[in-house]
Amino acid sequence: MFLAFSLLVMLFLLAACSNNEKTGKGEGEAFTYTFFNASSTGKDINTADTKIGKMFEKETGVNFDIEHIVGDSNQKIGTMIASGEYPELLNAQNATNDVIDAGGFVPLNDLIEEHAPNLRKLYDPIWEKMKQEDGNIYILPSGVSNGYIKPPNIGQSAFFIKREALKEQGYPHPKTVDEYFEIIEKYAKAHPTTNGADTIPYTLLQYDWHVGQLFDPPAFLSGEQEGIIVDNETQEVSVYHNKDITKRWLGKLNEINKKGLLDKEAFTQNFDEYLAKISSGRVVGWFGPRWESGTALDTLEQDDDPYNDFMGFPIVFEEGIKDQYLNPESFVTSPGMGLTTGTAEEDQVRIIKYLDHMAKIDSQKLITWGIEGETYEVNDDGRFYRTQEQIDLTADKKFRDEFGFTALGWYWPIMGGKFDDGNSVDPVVQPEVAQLAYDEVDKEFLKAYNIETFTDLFTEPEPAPWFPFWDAAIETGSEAQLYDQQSRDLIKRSYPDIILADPAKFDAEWNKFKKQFDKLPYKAYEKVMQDSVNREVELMK
Amino acid sequence: MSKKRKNLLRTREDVIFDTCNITFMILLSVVMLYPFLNQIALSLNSATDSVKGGIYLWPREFTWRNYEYVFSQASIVQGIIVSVARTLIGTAIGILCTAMVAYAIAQEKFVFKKSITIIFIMTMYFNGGLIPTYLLMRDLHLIGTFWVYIIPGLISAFNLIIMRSFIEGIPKSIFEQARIDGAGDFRVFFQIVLPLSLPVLATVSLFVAVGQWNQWFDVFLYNSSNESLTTLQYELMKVLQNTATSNGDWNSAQASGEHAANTVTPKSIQATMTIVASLPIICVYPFLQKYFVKGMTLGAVK
Amino acid sequence: MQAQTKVNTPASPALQTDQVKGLKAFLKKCKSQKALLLMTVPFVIWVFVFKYLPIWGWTMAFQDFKPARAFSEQEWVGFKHFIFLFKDERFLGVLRNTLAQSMINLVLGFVTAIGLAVLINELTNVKFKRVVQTISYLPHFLSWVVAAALISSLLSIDGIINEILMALNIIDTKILWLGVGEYFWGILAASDIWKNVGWNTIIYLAAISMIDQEQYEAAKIDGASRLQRIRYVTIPGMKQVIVVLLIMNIGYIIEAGFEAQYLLGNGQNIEYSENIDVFVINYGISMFNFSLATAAGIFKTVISLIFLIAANSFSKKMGQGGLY
Repeated sequence: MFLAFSLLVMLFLLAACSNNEKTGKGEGEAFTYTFFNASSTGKDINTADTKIGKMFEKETGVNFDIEHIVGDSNQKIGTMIASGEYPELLNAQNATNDVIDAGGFVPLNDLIEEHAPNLRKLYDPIWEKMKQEDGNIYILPSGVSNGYIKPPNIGQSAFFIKREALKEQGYPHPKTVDEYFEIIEKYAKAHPTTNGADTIPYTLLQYDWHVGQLFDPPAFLSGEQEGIIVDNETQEVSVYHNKDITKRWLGKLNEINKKGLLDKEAFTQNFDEYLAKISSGRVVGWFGPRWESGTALDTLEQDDDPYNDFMGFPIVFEEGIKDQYLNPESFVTSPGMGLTTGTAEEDQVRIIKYLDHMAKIDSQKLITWGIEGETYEVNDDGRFYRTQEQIDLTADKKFRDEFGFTALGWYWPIMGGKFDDGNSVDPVVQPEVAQLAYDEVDKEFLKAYNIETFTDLFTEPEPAPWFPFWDAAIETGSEAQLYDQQSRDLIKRSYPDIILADPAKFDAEWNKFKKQFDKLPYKAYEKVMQDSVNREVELMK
Repeated sequence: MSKKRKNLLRTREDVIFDTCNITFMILLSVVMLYPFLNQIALSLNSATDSVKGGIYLWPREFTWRNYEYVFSQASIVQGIIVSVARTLIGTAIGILCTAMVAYAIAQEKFVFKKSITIIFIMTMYFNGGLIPTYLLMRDLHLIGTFWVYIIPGLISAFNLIIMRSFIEGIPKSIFEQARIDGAGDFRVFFQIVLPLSLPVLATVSLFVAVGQWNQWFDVFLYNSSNESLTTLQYELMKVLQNTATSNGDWNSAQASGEHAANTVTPKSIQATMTIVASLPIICVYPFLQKYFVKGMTLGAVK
Repeated sequence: MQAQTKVNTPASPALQTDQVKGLKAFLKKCKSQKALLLMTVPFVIWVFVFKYLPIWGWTMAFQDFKPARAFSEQEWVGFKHFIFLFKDERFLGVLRNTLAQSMINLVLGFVTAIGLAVLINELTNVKFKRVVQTISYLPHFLSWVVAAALISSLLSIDGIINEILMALNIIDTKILWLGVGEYFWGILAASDIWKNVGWNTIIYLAAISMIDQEQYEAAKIDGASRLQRIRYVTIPGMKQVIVVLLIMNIGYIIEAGFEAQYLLGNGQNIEYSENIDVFVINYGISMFNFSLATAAGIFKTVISLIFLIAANSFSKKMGQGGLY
C-alpha cells in the first residue's frame, strides 16, 4: 500500500515537471498561442497536430493550443475577467460583451487594415456592423455570408409528417395548419397503434433550453421569421407572445388536445424520452428544427423502414401567407474570437497574420472542402463535388479530427454562403453533394411532389439584414435581459394550463396569461431590438 | 457461546424477523442494483439503437463503440493517474489533519475547545463565492498546481464534527490511564485514539476519497489549461459535453456536415462515463468494510 | 473560556489585578496545553485564510458587481439585489418549496437511513451483509442526470409504476406523475432517499460498530428480545451521532439542492419544483449577475445560522448535548 502510494507520488511529480510553459513562447521555430473557445466543447488539440494546421504553421510559423470549455462559460469567463488573465485568443460566448466592457479585447481595426488585407476582404460585408459603439472592432465572427445559397435539405424548422401518412393518403400537400392536422388525424384514426404501442398523433417538447416548439410556430405560421417580428415596411419590432397569432396557435393546440391528438406527456417528457418517441415511429407529426431531433431522425433513416422517416412542410395559418421558414442570408457578429489584452504587440501581429492567411480563398477552400483529389473533386464546369467514398471519408469523425476540419472549421474566420466561383462554402449544402445522398424512397417523394430538393417546397427567404436578431447585445442586468428570462419562465408555467384547458375555459386562461405577460418589461426588450434593427437597416443603406 | 446454544436461543420471533429482513434486503438490492445494470447495458448498446429507448438489463445491439469513443477522445490514463493521486494524497493528508483537530477539540480541558469548534462549524454555512475564492488561489500561487486539489479542502467541518463526536465517545478512563503513564497528547493521539477510531476513520476516509474522486469543478476553474493535471472526471465531462454540443449546436453541426455520422449520443456516453468513472471508487468500499464489522476492541486496550 | 472573554473586555482599574491574574492563569493553561495548541493553531490559520478571507466577496451583494472593476470602482447599490429577490412575486412560493422539499427530505432521509442501518446490522450472515451494504450505496454514484432520466421513465404514462398500480387495481386511469404539481415533493423525497439512503447508512453503521459487544451479550442474558436489543442497545449507541447529524442538517434546511428539481421540474409542476437554487441559477449565474447570486447566498447563510443556533440550543436544553 505504502509502496504504491509513494510510486504514485513520484509519477505525479514527474507529470508535473514535464508540464511545459507554452503560451507565447517559441517552441523550436513555431510560436504557440492559446485559443480558448467557450462556445464549443471538444477535444483539446494543437492545430499543428492536424494536416491543415501543419500547413498553416509552415506558412505562418504559428500554431494554437485550442482549449474548449467544460462547464459553465459564464463562471469561467467571470474568473478570467476578474483576474485579468486571458488566453491570447478568446471566444467568450454569452459573456462576450462583458469581456468587451471589461476592456479585455484589443481593438482590431488598425491591426487588420495594416497587416491583414485578406481578413479585411473577408469581413467587408459586415465591416461596419462589426464596430462597437466606440467605433472599434473586437470580435471576428464565423460564417460571414458571401452570397445566399438555398440549402437542399431542411436543417431548420418545419412542420414534419411521417412519410407513411403521406403515402397512404396519396401524397397530399398540406399548406395550412388545418390541412396539416387533418392528415394527422386521419392517419391516427386509421392506425390507433404502431408496433404495439399507442400512436402519438402530435408531440412537442418543452424541456430545459428546448422551447422553440412552442415559441416559434406563431411567427412561422404568420409568414415571419421566428423569435421576434419585424415589420417589413416600417421595420417596427414587436414581441408576439401576447399577440393574437400566439393565441391562435395555442387555440389550435387546445383544439387538437380536445380531440385527443396531443401527446399527454407533451409538457413532462424530457429530451431523451422525446427522441425515443420520435425514433420509435409512434409519432405522426411534430414541429421543430430538424437538427434538434437529429439523433432520432438519423436512427430512423438508418433503419430498414424508409417510410417511417419524416418530411417537412412550410405550414402557414391560411392560404395566401408567404412562408418564411428558411433562414435568410445571415450576418452574425457575435460571438466570435477576439485578441485579448494578455497578448504582446508582436504576438498580436503574428496572430493576425495567421488569421489573414486563413482568410485567403485557397485556405478557405482547404478548411471547408479540403484537398482536391483527396476530399473533393472538380468537374469541367468548375463545380466542386464529392464521390461517395469522399462523402463517407469526410463524415468520419476520426478523419475530420486528424485532417483539421474539426479544429480549424467553425469559430475561426470562415466564409458563409458561396465562393465567388459559385461553389457552396459548406460542402453539405452543395447540390451535387446532397443529390448523391438521396435514396430510392427520397426520390419517390421528390417525384410525387414534383420537386428536385426537399426545400423546393419552401419559399426563398426575403432579405432581412437584421437576421438573426439574437446576436443583438443585451446589457447585463438590464430590464431587457430580465424580460428574456421572465418571459421564458412565465410561458413555461402558463402554456400548459392554456393548452390543456377545457375549450370553454381557453379564453379565460389566455387572458390570465396575457395580463401577466403585459406586466413584464417587454417594451425594454423591444427597444433594444429596435435599436439593433435600426442600426442594421442604417448600415445596409 | 457455543453454536448449539445459540440455535436454541433462536426464538420464533427471531425467525420471523430474519425472514422479513432478508426478503426486504433482497428487494432493496434489486431496486438499488437495477440502475447500474441498466447503465452497463446502455453503455454496451449501439448508440443509435439506444435512442429508441427500451434498453433495460441487456444490450440489444452489442458494441464496444461507446468505450472506444470515450477512450479515444479523452486522456483517460493521464486522468486516472491524477485522480488516483489526488484521492490518495488528499485523503491521507486530509484525514490526518481532521483527526488531529478533532482530537484537540474533543478534549474537555482544552481552552479553545468551544471557539475553535464554532470557527469551523460556521464554515459549513457560508462561502465567499466563486470569484473571491479564485482570486485567493491566484494570489497564493496555487493555480496551475496539484496542491489546489489538496490544500483548499484540507478539512471539512462536517467530517471534523463527526470525528469529534466519535472521539468523545471513547471512554475517558483510557486517556487518563495513558496520561498517568506519562503519555503526551501526541502520543495519546497516535497510539490510542487513531487505532480506536478505525470505524470513523474508515467512514470519513470514504467520504473524503469519494469527494476527491468525483471532483471536477476545481479542475475546471483552476487547472483547465494544464493538460497534465486534469482528472478522470474532468476528462469524461469533456467528452460528454462534446457529444452533447456536436448534436445540439447547429452551427458546428451544419458547418461540419456531421449529421450523418453520429455514432455516439450523449445518452450512451453518459452511461459509459458512469461506469468508467464510478467502478474504481465503488471498489474502495468493500476494502473499508472490515473496519465497520470488526467493532470496538476495547478489551484489548483495557 | 471565562478567562479569555475577560481579557477582551476593556478594563476598569479596580478589576486590573483580577485581570492580570486571569491573564496569567490563562497563559499558564495555554502553556500546559502546548501540544493541543500545536495540533490546532496551524489549521485555525488555514481556515481563516481559505474560508474567512474570501468573505470580502459578500460586498458584491451590495454592488452592481462587474468582475473587471477594481474594488474601489465598483458601483454601490445598497440592498437593491436583496429587494429584487424578496420583491419577486414568486419568491414566497420559491422559499416555501425550498423549505418543504428539504424538510421532507430531512425527516424521511433520517428515518430511512437509521432504519436501514439497524436492519443491515441485524443481518447475521457477514457476506450477505457486506454485499447488501455495497449494493445499497451504488445509486449514490449515479449523477442526477442519469438518476432523473431513470425516474422520469419509471413515472411516465407507460412506465412501470403505472403498470403496477393498474395491475393491482389501485388506480383506474394512468397518472401523469410529473404533470401534477402536488406529487412533486413526494417524488423528490422518494428519489432522494433511493439515491442516498445507502450512502447515509455508512456513518450509522460506523457508529453501531463502535458499540461495545458486551452490551449486547448482557442484554441477551437479561432476556431482551431482538427488537428490545435494537431499542435499548443499538439506538442509544447511535444517539450521539444522530443528534450531531440532525443539528448540522437542520442548519442546511435552506439547501434543498437544485439538480433533481431542475431535471425533474417542468411547466406543469413548476409551482412545486422551483426552489431558491433554481431561481438563482436562472436569474444569477446564467445572467452573469454575480451580485444576485451573492445576495441569495448571504440570505441563505443567515437562515442557516438561525436554524443551526436554534437547533443547537434546543438540543442542549433537552439534555442531548450540542455541536458546540
